[in-house]
Amino acid sequence: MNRVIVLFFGYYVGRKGNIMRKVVFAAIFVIISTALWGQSNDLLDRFLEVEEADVATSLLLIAQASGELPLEAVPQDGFFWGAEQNFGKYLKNLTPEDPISLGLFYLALFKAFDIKGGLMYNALGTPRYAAMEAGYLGYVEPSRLYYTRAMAPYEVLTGITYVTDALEGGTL
Amino acid sequence: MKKQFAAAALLVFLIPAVSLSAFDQMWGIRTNLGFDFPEVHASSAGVVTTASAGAWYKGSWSQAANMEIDAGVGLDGSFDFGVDTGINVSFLGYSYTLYPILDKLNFYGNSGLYGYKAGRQIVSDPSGLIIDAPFDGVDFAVNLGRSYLSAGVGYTGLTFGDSAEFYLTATDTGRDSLLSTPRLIEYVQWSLPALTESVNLSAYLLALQDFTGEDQLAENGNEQFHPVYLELTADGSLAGSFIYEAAFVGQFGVYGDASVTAGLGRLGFSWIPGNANRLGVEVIASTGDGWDRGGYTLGNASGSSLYQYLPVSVVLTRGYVIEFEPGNITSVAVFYARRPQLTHSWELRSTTFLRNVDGPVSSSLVSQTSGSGTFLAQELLMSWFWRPKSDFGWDLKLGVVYAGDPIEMDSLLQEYWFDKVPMLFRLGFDWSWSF
Repeated sequence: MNRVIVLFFGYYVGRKGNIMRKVVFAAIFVIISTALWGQSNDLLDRFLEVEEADVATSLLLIAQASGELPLEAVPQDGFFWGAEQNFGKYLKNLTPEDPISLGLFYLALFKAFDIKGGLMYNALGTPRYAAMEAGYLGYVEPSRLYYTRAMAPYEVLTGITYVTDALEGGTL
Repeated sequence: MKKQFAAAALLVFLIPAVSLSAFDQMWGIRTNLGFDFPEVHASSAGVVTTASAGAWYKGSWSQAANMEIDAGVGLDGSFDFGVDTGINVSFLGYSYTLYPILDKLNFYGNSGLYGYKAGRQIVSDPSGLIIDAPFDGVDFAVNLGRSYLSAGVGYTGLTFGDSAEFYLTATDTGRDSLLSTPRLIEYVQWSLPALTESVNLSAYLLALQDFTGEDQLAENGNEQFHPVYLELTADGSLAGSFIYEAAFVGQFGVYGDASVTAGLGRLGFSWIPGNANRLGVEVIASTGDGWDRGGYTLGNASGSSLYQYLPVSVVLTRGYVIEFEPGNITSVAVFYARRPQLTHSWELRSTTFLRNVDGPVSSSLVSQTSGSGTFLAQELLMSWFWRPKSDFGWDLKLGVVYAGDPIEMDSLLQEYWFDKVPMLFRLGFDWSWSF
């Protein structure tokens, strides 16, 4: 069931431009498929209520989706997990409550799932190169491809869905 | 004058400096290197190199306030070889042109209902039949619900000539200046996407005023040219796997004492069975006129009425072994493209080139003393594209042409090669790296 919804959600959000529709479908997606990342409805509800996704919850969702953290982990655990990774240096000047940037999110996501990219991304692995990879893969609209910009919570869920779906052989 | 220069220099440095404080930003670098062999001229041939390197930057304060810069340098060079009277091939030397590129330096934004862009920007028509070049100006767009309306005005005289490639009069081709010919361009575009499930419509009107100075006119032997273009386009998909495009352009203008009435049409139809295959046909036909116009671009015309279609900038070039601009040409192409994997694809294309009137075409291989006739060339082109990484890719092209009577070389090449085997080939390699 979750698989069908993930595919539908990924397809719908990837093809349509209406933000309200994205939010509505993100909410439906979260309600029905919380088991996907093993996270509680309360945490995801709170996450979706804010305008900008925070670093700690975003990293927690990535870590849980990749199996790096247990289901009962809390956002603070996600932040500590991120700080220990090879992209952790980009967290040094951030607090767990800070909004996560597009570049940092996709860098963490691609590193967590060991997704390779272009020559420069593989060699240097900076947030900007990760954002460019996300643009190349069609995960981010070209007009919104700024590696420094804060992400909306639904974009975090969408990004994780894109990657988990692609790893399972789905069509983006 | 010094104050003006200082103000302009300050602006150039200030905009990037201000952009660093932009809330959101993105930047990248592009490099490109290509080799093609042989580029055949009437009396020599060469290995052509094209290279460019540039950087782009986007900064955003809000949806309504953004900026973009796209600048770099380009290099067009050629290792030239000739044949002497003893039929010995000799190296003639390497010639090159190094030029700056500044395609974008503008502010833009939209409110959902309105949109604007001000500064250096690329202007292009919906079908790519008239113009695709930078200018300095403003563009304003409004969302009318089911349709969009946009209008713009800009000046071409501060763009760099070798990268902008305005190509209308003898001044454009003979101008010894870093900058393009001064012209003012105005346009209006109305687009109606999704009129029905299978039809998108657009109408485009462009007017151009030529401000070429008297000294340039006298030096290059041409007049001011003031054309107007009207373009109508319809495209869409039929039954899911068939896509089509129909586009027509009418060109009307005044050139010295002569009037210009010309046009061009393009019809394209493709069948896409599945995601990996595409089979298509494309027909392009334009009007042309005789040698009383002198050459392909407008020079000293002797006729009072001219009919050759001339786009504003270099667009719609067809042919690989011999490149043809669209004026005075009918081309019929059939192609099959296949993308077996996401990282590579290939295409096989057969194109027939016909000359509509016994007059000039853009290639230097066709001159006033060349043979007459309609058939110009039959080209078979094989292209292979490989992009193993997101930031790196290259393509390989191999083309073969069977040439018609109007295509000629100088006496030696003609006697020892073309009279025996009227065929040409060209092999090309392009490499790109963006990061």
